[in-house]
Amino acid sequence: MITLIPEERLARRLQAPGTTATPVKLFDLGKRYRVVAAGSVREYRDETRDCAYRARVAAVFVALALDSAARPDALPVPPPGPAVATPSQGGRNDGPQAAVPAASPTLPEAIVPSQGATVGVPMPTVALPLDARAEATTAQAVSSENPGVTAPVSSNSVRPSTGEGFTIEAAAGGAVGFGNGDDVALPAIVLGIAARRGDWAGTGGIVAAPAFDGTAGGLRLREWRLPGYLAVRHHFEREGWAPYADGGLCLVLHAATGRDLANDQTDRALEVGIHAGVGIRLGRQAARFKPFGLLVVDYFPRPSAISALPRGEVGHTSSVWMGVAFGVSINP
Amino acid sequence: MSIRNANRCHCWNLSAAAFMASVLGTALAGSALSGCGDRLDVGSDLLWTARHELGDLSEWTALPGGGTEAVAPSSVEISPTHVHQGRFGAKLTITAPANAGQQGAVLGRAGGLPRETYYSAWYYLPQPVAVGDNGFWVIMKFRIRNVPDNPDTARELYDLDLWTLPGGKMSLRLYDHRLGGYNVALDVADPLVPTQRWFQVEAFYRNAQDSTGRVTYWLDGTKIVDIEGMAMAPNSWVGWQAGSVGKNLVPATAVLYVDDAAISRTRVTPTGIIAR
Repeated sequence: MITLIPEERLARRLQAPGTTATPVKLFDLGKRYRVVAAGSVREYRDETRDCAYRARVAAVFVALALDSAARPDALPVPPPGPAVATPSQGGRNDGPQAAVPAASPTLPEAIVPSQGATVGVPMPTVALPLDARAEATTAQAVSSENPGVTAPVSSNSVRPSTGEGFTIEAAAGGAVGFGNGDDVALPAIVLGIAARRGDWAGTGGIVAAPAFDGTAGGLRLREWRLPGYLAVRHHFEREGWAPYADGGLCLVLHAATGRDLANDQTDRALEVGIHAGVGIRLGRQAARFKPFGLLVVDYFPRPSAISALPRGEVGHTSSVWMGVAFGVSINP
Repeated sequence: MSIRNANRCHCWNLSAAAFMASVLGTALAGSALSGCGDRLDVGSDLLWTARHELGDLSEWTALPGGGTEAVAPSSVEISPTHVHQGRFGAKLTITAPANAGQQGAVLGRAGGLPRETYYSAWYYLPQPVAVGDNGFWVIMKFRIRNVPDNPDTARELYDLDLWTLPGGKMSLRLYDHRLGGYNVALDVADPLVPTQRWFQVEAFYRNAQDSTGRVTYWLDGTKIVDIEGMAMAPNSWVGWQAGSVGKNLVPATAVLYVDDAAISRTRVTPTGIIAR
């Protein structure tokens, strides 16, 4: 609020003669919410029930309402529209009901209750203290964009895209396996999918890589891996870019065949490990295609043993795999 | 000022944290359970084994050129009495008193063996046996043939003998039948052979007709002799025996157990595995 209205003016508005003891009221109506400030009422619809979003919208409305209450001629003349009644405010609105000003083109479409509509269960009203300050993020969003006007733009959409929904990820890169004495490096292709809600996402995917020649204890092998991962991802959204971190589980189907033995044999094992990664995604949140880069580490506490008769166990598979990939995420 | 549905916002963060914790916990639990016993068996260098777990000697006799040989009262039989691993071993009994000539009970492979490969077997001596003067007790043999397809041309090449040290303990010596026959000096002087405990004898034999020939022996993993740089057999035919061939033994009746014999491209060693 302080960002929208200078502190000294805000105090005067709130303490101005004629204002109620609780100058600002907020009502949670489920998928809708109502803001009352300086005799003005506005309802908005938010089916996602995003608290932070509602706070920003309410702050803008309150700022406009308080400001316009001091300077009634500052508000643009609303286009003619159906007159609607505002709910009773404890005796203030006497006589003919004034039409509620049309919504600012920069605010979400207001839902103005018709006369006689139920008010809904009022939340505990919140008095705006003199030293109240909007959340830093809200203030920054307001001040950086258009002072006095907040973000919600489209008159048709409830809210802008924040990356919710499914994302398909495709990347190419390479991986290095080490920890068994003989390091191995190979190219890889990653295919994944992420289901995002807010800053969190569940993600999973598989990695395709070619078969490779390895060794264990001097024994030559032909190996092949099919890793898959399941992880929880947290995004740290920034303007135009978003770093993120993954943490979860890695499952690998590992096949190996001895080479140059009297009797070569292929065997398979399922390895379970810990998956961790950090990445950076570029582009606006609402962009459909966003490039990204990713660094991952998979750690297998108990890698599979490699065994060949008559020696027995000659070594084990790599316990650590580190990979780098670059690709693009797609919002279908 | 903010509109906050505390329950919803708080629960989402808790849910995400709980999910991550459960994922990590699953990973740790899964990694603890799997991979511990997971093993990739990628093959084997074993060419042949005789573990005697079938309860008979067919592992020796079923192959071309393989077999057992014993002249009564000597005998070769399956026995559960002393076993290296599993349920059965081979029991070789000979009666070789002084002045009675050579007696033998052997298990062998003849022909069809690689030019170079490793041979191994485990032995058990229930009691010490004294080898008298002019006596001998062979437990491993390499044989040759002047004509590969003619068994009548078979001759001895190397004999690994048990013999008695002053004081009664048993040791090994290598006898070369060529050049009139002589005991080869070992790299390890008088290696001790245990009684009432299984011991392993390994040999590497490269049957070359030129100076690349080689024969090497190990006792319980310790190399005791390495002969290289000389020709071995006159042709590619190889014969190998694990057995008991003796003369002038005290007591005259000597029992020797043999188990877990193997022919392989790589050394078995005392810790080697010849069966899963």
